[in-house]
Amino acid sequence: MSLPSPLTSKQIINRCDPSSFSFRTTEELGATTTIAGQERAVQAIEFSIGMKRDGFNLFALGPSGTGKQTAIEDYLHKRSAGEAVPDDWCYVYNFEKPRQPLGLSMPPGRGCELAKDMDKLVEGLFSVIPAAFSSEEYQEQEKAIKEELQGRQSSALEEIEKKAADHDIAVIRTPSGFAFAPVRKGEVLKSEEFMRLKPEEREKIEREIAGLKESMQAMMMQIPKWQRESQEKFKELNQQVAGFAIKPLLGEIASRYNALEPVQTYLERVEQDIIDNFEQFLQKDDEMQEMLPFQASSAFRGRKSHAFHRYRINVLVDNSSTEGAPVIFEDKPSCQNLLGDIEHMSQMGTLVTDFTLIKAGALHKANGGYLVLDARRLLMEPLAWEALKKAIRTRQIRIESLAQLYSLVSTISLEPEPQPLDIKVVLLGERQLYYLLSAYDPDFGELFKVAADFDDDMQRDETSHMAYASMIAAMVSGAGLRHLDAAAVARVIEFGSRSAGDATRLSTHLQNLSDLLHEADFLAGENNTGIVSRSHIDRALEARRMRAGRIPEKIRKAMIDNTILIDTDAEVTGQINGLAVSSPGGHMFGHPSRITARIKMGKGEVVDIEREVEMGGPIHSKGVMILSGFLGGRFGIDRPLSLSATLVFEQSYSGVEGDSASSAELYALLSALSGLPLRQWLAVTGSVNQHGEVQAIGGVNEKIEGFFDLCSQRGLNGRQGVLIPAANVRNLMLRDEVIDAIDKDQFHIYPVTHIDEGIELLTGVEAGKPDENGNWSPGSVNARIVKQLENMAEKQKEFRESAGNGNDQTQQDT
Amino acid sequence: MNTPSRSLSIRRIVVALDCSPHSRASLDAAAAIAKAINAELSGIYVEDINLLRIADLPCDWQTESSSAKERQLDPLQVERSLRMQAKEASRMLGKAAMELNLTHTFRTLRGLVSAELLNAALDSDLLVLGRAGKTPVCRRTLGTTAKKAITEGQMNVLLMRKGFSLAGPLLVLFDGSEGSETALRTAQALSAERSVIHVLLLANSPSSAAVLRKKAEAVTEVPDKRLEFHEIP
Repeated sequence: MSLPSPLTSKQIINRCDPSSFSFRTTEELGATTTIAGQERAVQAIEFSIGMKRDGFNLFALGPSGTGKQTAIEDYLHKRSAGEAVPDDWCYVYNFEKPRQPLGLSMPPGRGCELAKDMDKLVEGLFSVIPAAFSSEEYQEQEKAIKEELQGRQSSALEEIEKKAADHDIAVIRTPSGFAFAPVRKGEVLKSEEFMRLKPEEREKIEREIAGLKESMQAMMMQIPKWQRESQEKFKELNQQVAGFAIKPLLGEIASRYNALEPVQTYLERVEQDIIDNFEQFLQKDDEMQEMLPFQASSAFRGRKSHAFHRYRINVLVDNSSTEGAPVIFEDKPSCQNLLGDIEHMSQMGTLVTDFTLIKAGALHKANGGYLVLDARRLLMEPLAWEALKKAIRTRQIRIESLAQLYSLVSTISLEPEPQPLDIKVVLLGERQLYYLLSAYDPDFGELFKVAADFDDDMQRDETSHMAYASMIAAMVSGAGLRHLDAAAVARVIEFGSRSAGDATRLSTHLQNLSDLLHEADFLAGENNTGIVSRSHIDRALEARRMRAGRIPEKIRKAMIDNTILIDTDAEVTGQINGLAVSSPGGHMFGHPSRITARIKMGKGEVVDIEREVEMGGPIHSKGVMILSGFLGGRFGIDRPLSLSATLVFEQSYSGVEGDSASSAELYALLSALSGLPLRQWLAVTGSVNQHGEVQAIGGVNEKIEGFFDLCSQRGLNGRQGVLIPAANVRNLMLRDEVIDAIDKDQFHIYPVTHIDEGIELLTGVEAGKPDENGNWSPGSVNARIVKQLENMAEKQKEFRESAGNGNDQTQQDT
Repeated sequence: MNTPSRSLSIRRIVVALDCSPHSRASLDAAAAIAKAINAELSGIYVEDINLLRIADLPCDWQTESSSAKERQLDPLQVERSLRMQAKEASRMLGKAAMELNLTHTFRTLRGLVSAELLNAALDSDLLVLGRAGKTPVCRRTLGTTAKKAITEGQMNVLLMRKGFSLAGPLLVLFDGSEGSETALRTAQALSAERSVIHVLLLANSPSSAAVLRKKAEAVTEVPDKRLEFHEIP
């Protein structure tokens, strides 16, 4: 078998050539490209926004920092600029049902106009109505009605008095009514005088008085009716006067809103209400003078503000200065912030509200346009998600107070007329949220039919290099940073590839990129240079590594001090340096980890100590079980595997996950079985399948660099290196130090495709090939293993036989 | 305000009190005049003998105004009610007099209201009473007592009604007679400092009006800016 050659420096990094760029600095590039490599997502956005049908709302999914919000907002702003400005939305007093304020929709800007007109109207009414009611004509008419009533009453009474006087009977007022009594010369008869009268005279008087009483009673019964009639006349007069006085004021307003039918209807109701309640505008000065100054002012204010309130317009959405359709990003998508709220005022210790205290929510503001929300924040707000879905489904915004809904407060509540909703909602969120919502919320698929899936990376080629450069230029211009020269751009592109973990792709994680540009700009500023050059980018990256380097450095120091045992020099049987990656706080780094294997006689099982103590994850356990499969398939067909192997990650205290160490474990096992020592100066990564093929793993760059750093600290000697899966060669984007060492032949990277290649590199002994009878080439690793297994099987057989005889004897004894 | 030396000589003012709104106005006016001219205020409440007699009569001839039903008048209740009214009238007078620091007396009489009142006012210089008292509702004309005081009374009478004030403006009819001169001086004494006093000169020609005006101005001795002269053209 031909062994894989170590990789050359060209194979371990995909350099970006600055000379391939047509610009010298990013300043020459336009600052228009804000996003690149997201064609799939952009198409989805265009489709969703263009689709004017229910439910075609958008969910933009992707890791945070991939430019979802930037892309969406850019697109929406461009598109919305050419769209119609939506109408204003106002709430007005409902004269029939005051607890259900009415909604008024009118062309943009007209809402505020109407509100101002109504305020002026109320101001005007305070002068027009008192003037009308203090006019001489009104006073005369009022007096006439009063006198008519008085006349009716007194003439009726005078008639009775006259009738009584004719019979010498007087009508006298008593504390509670009227009494009739016989009089002589103006004086009421004394009791004894009356008793002295002849019986027939007394009877006559009594008869006459009885008749008079009847007349008096009949008259008294009439009085309430006369009073009612007078009241009616008063009312009619007042309404006529008030109606006549306010007509010109209201007519003037109505003429300005001729084409708006709902406004006309509203104004008609206002007119009728003012006529019905004209008294509130009659504030008499003398009434005020009787009060103390503070009472007068507060009473006047109270009455005036009450009148103001009733006829006010609550302009919930004012689109007078909006250009195009609104694009609203609600940063705190709570239920109240989305649907609006009904606020309360404290009045004499109680909470009261009215239609002027209705507050607009993001849905109101975005109605007729677009609403962008962060899905995670939305889901974290109690009831907000349900409220949003309900609004989209029912196509109306119904303001409901949460406190009222849950009976937390018990005050007067309002039910404002729901506003019709025509909106496109865009949710931004991580992929997992999208998948969870799709799986568990049956409404989700119906309401958010379009997904814009933002990719983590994009294809790397000449075109994408330019797109990346343009994106950098836009970021730099947008944030007011120093521009980059071509070499710096090339370095950023290489960083993009490294971030993507693939030499043929570029990361689309814009946040990370933007952070790097800011850091480089800071360093350029410290150097007093106007342009960010490659060295600034390098230094920024180095500084970043330095800042996050405490843990890897400590681990490395422990290895140098032999606190953590990592041998990089000797050859040891059943022991190998595997490579692991950790990412505390999001910063990924690699380091070697010693893996050992021991064998004993057994039933062919491989014991994963990590799993036994529950420190290994399921994928790791799966990897170890695959080893059993490989061993069984290769060596257990002709003979039983009479071994029991134990595998362990030495000095690991925090658990292991992933199958990237499975090839290293297999090498350790093969070494233990064959008795051949492994070269400790080579570290290994890669997973393995049951056929012994080495498969790709993640974090290859960090793993190589982790081992390189240790070797480099101990001193590079030209032997050290790393075995990686050949499939991972395309992922290599290594640091300059590693590249230098490879160029100088001080460090090696071997791309391995099969376990046999690896074991040969690690032991220096040929892996061997089976002949037509299945026998491995003599002296090879596999032949040694077969021999060892046969020995073990033989020994086990002997042991069983001797143990079996002993058992028989025992049975016989008993 | 100083007492004018040659104004109407009023030392004692009698005010008829029956607790009606008109009598409240009478009390206010009487108290204001008394203060202005430093006179003594004498309140009179007359317990209507007719009312007591009706209560004594054996038949229930009363009709209640609130329900139009018949009810027997209880003599004790009538007595009690009259006493209460007298007490209230006395309290009203006392309060008004105390506010303006006036000398005052109060008397309760019993008898026919108009006769007793006129009789009691004989030794006073001015009788102030309501235009109409508590006799049947809504009278548009003068009450019986007021009528009697004007037609039969010997003294000066002032009729008041609710809502009127003495502060002015006042109107004085001036025909050059001694009585009209007294009236003008009294008006000056009574009227508030800045209130206008309208003087209507009763003359049949402009020349005689000019004569009357001079005479009126002579009455006031020092020029009074409050006077406004009018004549019938």
